[in-house]
Amino acid sequence: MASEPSTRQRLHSVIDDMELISKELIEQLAMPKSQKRADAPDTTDLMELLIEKDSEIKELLKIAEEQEKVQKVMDGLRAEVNKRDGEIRQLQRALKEAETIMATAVYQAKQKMAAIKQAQNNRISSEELIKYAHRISASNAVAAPPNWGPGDARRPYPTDLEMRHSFLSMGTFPETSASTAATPALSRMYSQDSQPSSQHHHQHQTPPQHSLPHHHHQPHHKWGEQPGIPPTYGWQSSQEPSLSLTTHHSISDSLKGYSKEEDDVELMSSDSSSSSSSDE
Amino acid sequence: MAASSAAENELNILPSVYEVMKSIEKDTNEVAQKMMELKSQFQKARECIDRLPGTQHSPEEQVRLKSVLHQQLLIKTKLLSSFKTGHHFDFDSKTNGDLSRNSMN
Repeated sequence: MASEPSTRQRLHSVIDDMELISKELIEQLAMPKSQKRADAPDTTDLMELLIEKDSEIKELLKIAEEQEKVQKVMDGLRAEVNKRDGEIRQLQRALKEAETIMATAVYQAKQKMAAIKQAQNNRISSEELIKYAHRISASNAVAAPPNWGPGDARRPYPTDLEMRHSFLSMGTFPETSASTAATPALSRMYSQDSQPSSQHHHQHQTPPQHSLPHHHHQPHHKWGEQPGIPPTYGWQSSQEPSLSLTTHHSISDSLKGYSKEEDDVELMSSDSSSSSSSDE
Repeated sequence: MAASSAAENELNILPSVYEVMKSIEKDTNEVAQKMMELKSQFQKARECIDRLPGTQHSPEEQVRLKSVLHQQLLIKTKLLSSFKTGHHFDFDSKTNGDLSRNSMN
């Protein structure tokens, strides 16, 4: 389909025609009559053609005037379209950002749902958790005893001394019976329990069943009282009857829900976290 | 409209042709000058035509382009209004808030 010529092209065409006609007319007028060609067009015809082209130009100019008005409307429409394009691009950016945020939120929510599902499948009773919490806090591993101060040799972890006297270093474990330990060191340690001490309660003579290392050093010796025997600075060693009572009990006793132990646990748990970071 | 009214003066070439014809008849020395003026007049007419706004298309083509622009504007306005005010999320009432296995997968 041949496209129609534009108004501009038609105007150029008419102007070119007028130029040719005016040139021919001027040549005809300037040439002497003797030199005129026989087939030369008449000047009257040329002038009529020129007038016709001029009227054609005037019509085209009227069309151009109308097109100018339409062009102004189109320019306004184009500006509005560009403005909408900018808004659409801005909206697209915002939607993309929202999609990213929501994808992240959905992913995290799915992870949490998976964790909830796992927790529901592997249920743990609250009593068991509380028992473990009591056990941990009873050994003063989460908070220092109330009477602990700077310079106190007690630590929340087994010291070198305690480890040397432990069953791990000796390679044997105590029997469950009431018999004393096989090793001489332990026997010495436990023999101290039978001696009267004004500072410690010794209610438990048999080696206890322990799973925690620092529980091995339940006998408590004051520094200087037993020459030749290294002192124990067990974290559980305490001059307070309440705490020594706690540390003398075995795990099984502690799990029975000893009320005083619970009080001690509550007291110790209420303390702020231990800031003891120095080692011996 | 200002361009087209200015173009009327620029494209009014007949008086210049008449001036040349008159000078030829009178056989004066101004023929060459008038010829040069006529030539410059044609040049100015061409330059004026190139400056006319909207004449790069035919009238029919221009009307078609105008309708296309109008359609574009309507579509984009409708798109923007639908995204700003409309609801784009389909809420399934069956699984809303349900923590069953199907919804967690």
